[in-house]
Amino acid sequence: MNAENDADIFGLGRAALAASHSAFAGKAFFVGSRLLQPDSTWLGPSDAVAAIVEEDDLVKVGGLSAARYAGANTLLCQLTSGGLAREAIGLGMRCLVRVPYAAGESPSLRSQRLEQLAALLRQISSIDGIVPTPTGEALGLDTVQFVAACRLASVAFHVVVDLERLGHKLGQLCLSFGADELLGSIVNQRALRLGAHASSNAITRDEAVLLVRAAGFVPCERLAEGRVQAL
Amino acid sequence: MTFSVVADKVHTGTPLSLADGLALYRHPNLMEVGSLANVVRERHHADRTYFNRNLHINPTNVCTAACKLCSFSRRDAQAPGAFVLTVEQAVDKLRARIDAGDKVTEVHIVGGLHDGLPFDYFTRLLSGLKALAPGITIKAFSAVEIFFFHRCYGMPVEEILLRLRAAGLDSLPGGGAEILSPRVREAICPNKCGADEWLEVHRVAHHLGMKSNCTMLFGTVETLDERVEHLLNLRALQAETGGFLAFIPLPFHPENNALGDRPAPTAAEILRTCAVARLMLDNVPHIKAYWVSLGLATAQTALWFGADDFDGTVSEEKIYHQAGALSPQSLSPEAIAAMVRAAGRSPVERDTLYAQFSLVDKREAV
Repeated sequence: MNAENDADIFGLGRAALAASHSAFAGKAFFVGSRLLQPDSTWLGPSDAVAAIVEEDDLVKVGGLSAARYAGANTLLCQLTSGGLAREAIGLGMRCLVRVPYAAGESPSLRSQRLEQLAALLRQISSIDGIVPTPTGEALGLDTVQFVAACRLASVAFHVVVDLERLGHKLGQLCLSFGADELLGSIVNQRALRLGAHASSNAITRDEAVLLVRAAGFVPCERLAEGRVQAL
Repeated sequence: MTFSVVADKVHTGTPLSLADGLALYRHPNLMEVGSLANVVRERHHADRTYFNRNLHINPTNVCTAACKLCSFSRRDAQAPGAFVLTVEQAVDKLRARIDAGDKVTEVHIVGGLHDGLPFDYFTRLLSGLKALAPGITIKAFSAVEIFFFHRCYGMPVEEILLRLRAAGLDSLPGGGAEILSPRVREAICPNKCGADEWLEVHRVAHHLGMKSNCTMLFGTVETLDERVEHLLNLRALQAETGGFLAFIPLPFHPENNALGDRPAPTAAEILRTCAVARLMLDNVPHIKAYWVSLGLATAQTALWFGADDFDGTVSEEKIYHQAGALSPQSLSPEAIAAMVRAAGRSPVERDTLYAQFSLVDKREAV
């Protein structure tokens, strides 16, 4: 059993890392984000490059076109929302697909979901990336194994780490298991993790660079208008 | 030094050198280093992962040392936030856990270097805890505190340890080692005992038949050479005495201390350090993933990067949380077992001295 698990974890990690390197030549990206909330206000730094709207909030903000008009340039949609993804891409938005996972769920359920993902990506190749998303508490090994599986199911697409959900430590580990992009609130100066900021996952630009570089990648920052700067 | 040469040494059980340790730290692929450490981890422990039920008590945060790395201490007893527990208050903390039904088996005690407390405060503390729970194991006072007692109360280290043992002390925690380098200690904790003195306290304890743990605080001002030399120092003492039970890698936490302008070690660096420690410290039985300091996700992942112990349920942890740790204040045994099992390992409850074990039945898990 140990040897089998060893092969699973390290073998999966090696394969996913190799796939990531092959797709992006050893680069890993990071991008600062802000979120359009259901009350149509923005949460996060006003200079964030990624202005995100979540599919779940679209009705309350008046629909996709309204969100686009409000400045949203990135849609985070569900695995089953191919039509919405096409619409967002048609509006010039970056489209990322959330792929849910839960601790303790069956391997067959995960396999089905990854097959569904692969089918979606075959249908809509202009989807830019996928975001493995825990539906409960994100466990360490479970997360990195799922991220690796996502990478292997979608080799040419960005596998994006949601730092808000996973935190910067687990987020960085995901880079070693096939993820290639960190998405989260990037601030000029991080507040001490005390009081109201005790559980904040915001990081500074320097911290983002460090996370990427310490994971063995060349850090590349996403800038406005689709530009990317290697650091 | 190539990785394959290091791997060959690991597979043949040959102790690694300074150059080997540096090669492991500098190897570009964390996965390869982790996989190698996992070989040793499973050679020692198969898929067993240990934990215990413990309570942390910090008797005081008043401390004369003023270490730059510390977020916990207060320089004097009148400073805002300073505290000194009475013996009764400390014992009540254990009583509260017992009354709540916790089957605590270990009390872990560390505190500041308070020069205004009499020595019998500490002996009364130990005997008070033992009187309440005679079967409990007390792991108390880092080597830094023991050496401070020696200086403060004018007794030899051996006498200090014998008196504390007579009052109920069972073993020593591994804290205060930081990096066993005069240069680093001068930079981050100049008022603490020196590297040789830290080692000497553990040597004396081991010769008295006491077991202890050892640690490495990494990510402040040390070089990779100094980290590996630190591990070699620990391995040398272990070869001499055999008294260390576990090594605990402790990443620096930068909140609320004088070194706060430095970034904390990243998760990749933490996992690599766990793995390097497992490979370098071939004669230390256990590598502990102290979840309070590492964070839960990193600690769980570390169970595949050399670590075989998750520490314990831990309640009342203050030192790391005041330095910005985001981990919970405590975990139930069931939660630990579930997390270990989710990592593909088998949870085993242990006592402090790794003398008694019980495999946690899957049916007990949450």
